[in-house]
Amino acid sequence: MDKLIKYIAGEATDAEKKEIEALLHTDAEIRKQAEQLQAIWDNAPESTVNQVDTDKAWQNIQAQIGISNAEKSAKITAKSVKVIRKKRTRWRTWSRVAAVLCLGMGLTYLVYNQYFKGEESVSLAESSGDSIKNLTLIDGSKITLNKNSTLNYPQKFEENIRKVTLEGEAFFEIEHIDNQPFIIQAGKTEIRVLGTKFNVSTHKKDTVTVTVEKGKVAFYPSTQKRKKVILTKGEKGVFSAKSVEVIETKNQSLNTNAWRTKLLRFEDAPMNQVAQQLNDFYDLEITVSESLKNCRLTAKFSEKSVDEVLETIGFMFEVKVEKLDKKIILTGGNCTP
Amino acid sequence: MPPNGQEYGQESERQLFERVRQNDQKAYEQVFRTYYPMLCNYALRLVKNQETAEEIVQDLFCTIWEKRQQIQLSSSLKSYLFGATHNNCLRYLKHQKVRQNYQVETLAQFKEGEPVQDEEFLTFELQQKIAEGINRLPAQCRKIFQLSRYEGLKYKEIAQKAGISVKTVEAQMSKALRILREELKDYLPTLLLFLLFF
Repeated sequence: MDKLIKYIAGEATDAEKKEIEALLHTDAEIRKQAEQLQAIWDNAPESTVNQVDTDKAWQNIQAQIGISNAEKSAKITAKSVKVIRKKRTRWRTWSRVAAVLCLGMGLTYLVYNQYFKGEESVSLAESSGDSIKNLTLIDGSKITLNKNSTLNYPQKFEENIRKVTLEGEAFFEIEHIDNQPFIIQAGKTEIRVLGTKFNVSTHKKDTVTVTVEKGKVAFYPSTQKRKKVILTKGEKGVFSAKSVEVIETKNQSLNTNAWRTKLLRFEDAPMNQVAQQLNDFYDLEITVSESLKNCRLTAKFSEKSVDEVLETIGFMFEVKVEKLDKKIILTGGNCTP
Repeated sequence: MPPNGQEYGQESERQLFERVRQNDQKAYEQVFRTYYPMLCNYALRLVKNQETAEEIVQDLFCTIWEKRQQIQLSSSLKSYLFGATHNNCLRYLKHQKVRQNYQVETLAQFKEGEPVQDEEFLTFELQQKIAEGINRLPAQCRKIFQLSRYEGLKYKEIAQKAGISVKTVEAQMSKALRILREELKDYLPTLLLFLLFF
């Protein structure tokens, strides 16, 4: 077998090679050994196995399985309670009356508090509808709301925190105030800042994207602050509801704020990226052929229509444009400079 | 057709899964401990992040436990686990919509909906087992094997580099491959037959 190993490792002399190759033809046992050794040799992976903590993982699983079992037994209890309750309809009616009374008293208390003591602040909502809207908050922070977006904010901020809620997309310019951080609740995430400029988008289902233009922000799932990611200038964080996690990347797009500035910029950007950004900006479904994917575009489009943009691209790379409603297919392409 | 060893493995795994179905947490723990490390490494190759990979596999094991009554194993438990891990990773990547190039590439490699081939994860499993074997080799033996295998160095070059004789290099190489073959001897014949047949 030693000779066989030398053979497989490429160390056999010509004479040894001949000898072994002859043996491989005649001896089935040797052939089997050779196959196995070759399989080991060929498949030996360069990367080592990453160690995982199976014990800890199993504890996690047990905890979760335990929870789901507990939930089930809770459901069963709830069902039996229902059965009992049916028999106690009269008691239920009275309890309802009591609940309504309690609620009424609670509301009275709240209203009293707000109007007479003025401690609790009234919550305001601003929705942009079909146009882009500019807001200035009481603390001097400027917010640009993209179309179809809503910002909820208090008329007066609390003493040690400034908190707002965003649905949709907005660009924030936050005034720095010592010891009064600004927190944006967006989908299932929170973004915590002191003073910066950045863009927040919840337009895509189950994702929240934060792109920082200046300063520093902390971005984390609302329920898991320890999973926070610190983003600085030029960085982008993407939160996925599925994994409940923020992934940090370089912001490769120059067009994060295009919805605000109406200016599309590309610098040596591959066409598949260009297509994606055009899709986001114009709300289209552009696909590019394989041959075009690596064509690189450097261009500026200021307040141009899709047709004008496509015409330019078509001219530059000899592209054929097929248009069917929102679906646009770009084919052909000659990228030699 | 898979050879006997494979069939036996599948059969005992089916029994194991049958116990899982009957709420046997001990049996489930056994399944988990057998496959967790390997599935994590498999997921890692796709999602390129250790923590995410582990989360995906843990989620999968939670889901399987919840749905243990409904799950029908059409082939082996192993195929099922690898297939499900594969799909969940793809779903995760798609969800990210992070347009980093490597992920676009990873997505391009595996079209969605395309079932994962047994061959693919069997090869992966083999690689994992070899890697584990290499990890267990004595340090010098491992180093020499790696120099020869990955850096493509000749025995003579390795000998010079390590300040030992060519004969020692040769002996260490023989030792390395003998140990690896010995460790994999129950596994290799069935696998090779399987890979040849499909």
